[in-house]
Amino acid sequence: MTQLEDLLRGALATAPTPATSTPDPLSDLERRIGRARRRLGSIAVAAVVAIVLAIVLPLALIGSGGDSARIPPAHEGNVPVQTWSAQAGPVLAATAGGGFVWSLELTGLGPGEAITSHTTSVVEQRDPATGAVLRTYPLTTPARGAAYGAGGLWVWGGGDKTHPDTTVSVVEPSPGVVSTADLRQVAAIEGFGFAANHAYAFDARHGVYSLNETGSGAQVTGRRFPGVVDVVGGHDTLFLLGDHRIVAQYPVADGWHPDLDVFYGITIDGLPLVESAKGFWTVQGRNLVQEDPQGHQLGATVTPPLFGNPTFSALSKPLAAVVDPAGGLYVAMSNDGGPRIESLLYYSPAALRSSAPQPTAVHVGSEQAETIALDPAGGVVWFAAGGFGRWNPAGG
Amino acid sequence: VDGRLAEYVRGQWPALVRYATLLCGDASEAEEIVQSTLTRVALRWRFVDDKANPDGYVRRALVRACIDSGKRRRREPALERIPDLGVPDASGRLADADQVRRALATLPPRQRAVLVLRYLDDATEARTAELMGCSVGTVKSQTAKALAKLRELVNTDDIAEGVR
Repeated sequence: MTQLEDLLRGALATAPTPATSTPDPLSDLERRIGRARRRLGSIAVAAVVAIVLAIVLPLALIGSGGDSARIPPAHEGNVPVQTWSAQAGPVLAATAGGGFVWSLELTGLGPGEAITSHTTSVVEQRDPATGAVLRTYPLTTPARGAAYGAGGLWVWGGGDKTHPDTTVSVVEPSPGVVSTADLRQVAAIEGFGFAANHAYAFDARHGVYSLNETGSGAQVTGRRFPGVVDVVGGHDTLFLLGDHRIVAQYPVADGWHPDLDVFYGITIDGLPLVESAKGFWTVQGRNLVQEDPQGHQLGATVTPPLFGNPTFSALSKPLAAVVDPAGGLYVAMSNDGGPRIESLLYYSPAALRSSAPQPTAVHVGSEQAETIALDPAGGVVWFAAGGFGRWNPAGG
Repeated sequence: VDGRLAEYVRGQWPALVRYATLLCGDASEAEEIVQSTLTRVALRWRFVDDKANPDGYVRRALVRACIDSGKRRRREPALERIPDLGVPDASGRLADADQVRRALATLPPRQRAVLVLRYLDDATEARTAELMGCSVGTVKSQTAKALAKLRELVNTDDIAEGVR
């Protein structure tokens, strides 16, 4: 260490504490928080007023015709719900993949009872055409999330003090086996993303970890990305969503690079929904925009139609999306701004190439749909608490 | 304000102001930065992982707030302040530590922050990069530039004589 470094270290260590001009910092802090909350409230009111002036009022003045954004698309009718009977207990998660529909259910849990050390869960592998249970896989923990990718169904979480939240099970449908491992290197697992046929877990401490694609999942490599709260994957790219930034990673080909393709500012108004062939789709306000990892817009902005008679408190908005192998975009819409999926839209690759893409749409009925996934038989499958429905705009 | 955050603020207020003063080079501005940072932390409290010990979260936010504030100030030439580095007194005996601190206050915000993190907090290069939101390479280059600049501003020969 040089003399200057010694001096610097000493100067910093002996720096005096400045006399404070704030006699009661806590009271001052509470006043500031109150002001900030009032300011946020004012901004929200201003935003509502702006929406009314910019969208609702013009629509009301125009009336029922003339505005293509307002005209509900031709619904092809309601999609009947294919209900399943949860054989074990409450359904915690459902998805589709590998040619099947999968549901994760808790077992050993009576009505109103909390999760205990006796609680476990089962995975049910179902026929997507009929909903019939083809096979049941008992797990040793009360898992709480499931996602399909990299050749298997990945189930995570313990959820109580007996089973750690770092438990991961992999159900591989081909041999029909379950492997379970406790990934002690990571914090509580929050979810999974998939890229280049590899599975990636992200945890509560902003860590993103690569797991071996089959087997016990015990081989873990990864690193922490401060601020990352979600991962979205597909093809060869893994997108890490953080606080006002998205980091594109190509871990299989190139390892981990925290500063690679950092894209700031996009998440102010949107979420990365799903990876497309060259980038990802995000929600920005009411629109869907396809962008590359550097933030350049690809193609036309997609503006999903408004349904019914929108008011400022009940605007249709996209909740989730998936991209099919041909590049078509399925969008799950809330009709009233809430968390319930009520309509499904499909933008074909040809429609997406036009300057004003128009979708095919369908109403999913009155069930509370929550998530969607690509249907193994073509089209899309959507899940609700009590079942699932299927829709194939190609006519299947 | 959550009780744990309130307790933290009561106990750590002087230390946070001192830390921010070193980071931003101005005591009065430091107090304002600490308050605005704590306000942001309080509003985002549900995202804080370790609520029993939020020091790491607060200090990371403080580092970035000081860097941002320094950048804004450097874009405002009318408000630019150049701390008085003093003139060597007749005896040539400068208060060494004070001279170093005043020289530190003249550095660009990122250079100042990197020195505080590396030499006060003893943060590793990786940890410094994480706190500043930049790469390890940036930490290395900023540290080298900051030390070079500090060496220009501080006459180590005079100080060495003063120590003897």
